[in-house]
Amino acid sequence: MTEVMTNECRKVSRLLGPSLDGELDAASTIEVDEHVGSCAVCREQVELKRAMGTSVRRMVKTSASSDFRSRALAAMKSADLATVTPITAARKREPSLAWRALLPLTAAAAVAVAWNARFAPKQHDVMAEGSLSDIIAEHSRPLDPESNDPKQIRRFERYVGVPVRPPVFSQNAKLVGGRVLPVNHERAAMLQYEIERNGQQQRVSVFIYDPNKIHVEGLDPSPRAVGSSEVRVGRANGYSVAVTQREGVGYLVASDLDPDLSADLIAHAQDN
Amino acid sequence: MTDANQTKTFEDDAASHLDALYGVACRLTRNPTEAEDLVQDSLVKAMRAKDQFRPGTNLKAWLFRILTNTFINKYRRGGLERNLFEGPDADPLVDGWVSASTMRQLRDPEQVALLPIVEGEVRNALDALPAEFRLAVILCDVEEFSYEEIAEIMSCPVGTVMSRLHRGRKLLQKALYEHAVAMGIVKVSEAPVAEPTSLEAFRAKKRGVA
Repeated sequence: MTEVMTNECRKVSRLLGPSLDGELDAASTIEVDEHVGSCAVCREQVELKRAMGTSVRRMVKTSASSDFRSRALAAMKSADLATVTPITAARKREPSLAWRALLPLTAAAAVAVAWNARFAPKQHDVMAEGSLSDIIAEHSRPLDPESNDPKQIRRFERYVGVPVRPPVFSQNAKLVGGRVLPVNHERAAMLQYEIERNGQQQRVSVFIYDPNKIHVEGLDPSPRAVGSSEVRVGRANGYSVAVTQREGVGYLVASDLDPDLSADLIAHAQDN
Repeated sequence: MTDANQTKTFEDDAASHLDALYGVACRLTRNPTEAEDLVQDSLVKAMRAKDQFRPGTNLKAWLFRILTNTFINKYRRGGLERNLFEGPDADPLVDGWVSASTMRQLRDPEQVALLPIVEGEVRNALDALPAEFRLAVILCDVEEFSYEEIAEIMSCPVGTVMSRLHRGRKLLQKALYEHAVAMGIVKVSEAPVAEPTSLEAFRAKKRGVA
């Protein structure tokens, strides 16, 4: 058995990797096996390569956090919706009839709320339909929160691009939790609250987003002054929305409360 | 099967590769937050392009191809591209030679002992590899893709995959070996001096020119 490197070793050396990977043809495999069987030097190389492979495998194998997993799944779902209403420029100009049929809100929607990427062409009628359903769906059938810890929720800032400070409402409200939501190509934080009103629990969703990137359209054209805030409200499909901005951060409240109450709620909230 | 079911199946199938995508993305980006972004972007792209996926073909390889392309595009756009998939095959390739006597210390059952010690350094060694070598090694050693699949994922010929694997593993071996020597785990080899594998040297040798 040889213990020094020979020319044969050099030749075989290049084939060791493919041999271990099972990528060599039968003839070469036999050749390599025969050499390795009689060469201590190359056998050691084989063992070292195996050890390295195992080390690499152990180091790289990892699991994504459950938070990230739910975020990614939500993003996939949202992307799937987007494939129903493709957002390429060409398709925007020709809205799909199927999509319209899915949402019989076209004519009835006196108020349409649109989440539009800032630079997207303003095809209100098309974008509004799709986006309205998304917002309402997120509020009416919310995904589980990723976290109910305000400290964790504030960390959503890195995804949303603006500070995410869970608002504290003047009414008796409890923060249920929050999560990050994809909105077209941007992201918003969605915070869920339970507000006690007249002895009943009401669900309220607060969306926090960068108003420079996400544009809310189709609200009542005249903003209201509520306290020191400028609030725009709207109502659609049985839900009310109220939108305001504070310190460059956009806040949208969706609830089944009266629009005036929604406006009041968002205007008097304190950012925690 | 309804469209909804098909979508569900595709989504579930794609999501089942999330951990694998994330593990590779962590090593590609070398940053867990960027890795999450990369994986999410890739999965979103996959969902949007799911009509382009041919059922019956390898979904995992298809997803990794999207991940690889997204990584390249993202870093190019961000101006962060440094030797990305087209970098110099920088480090002169020397044979990460380990002598027989040294190897005896690395062998089974010692091999088991080697792993925990060296494993902490594997990350550094892997991260130090040029991106195209790193990706080839991970796709092969961790995800166990065939050379052909890796070629498809990395959009290059199989020969290039083999070369990247060979060189990546050599660099890895060398880096870890040096670490083992520095830690006093193995003795400096009395093995023959490694020879560079430059094309010029090879041609010169072939022509009989010393």
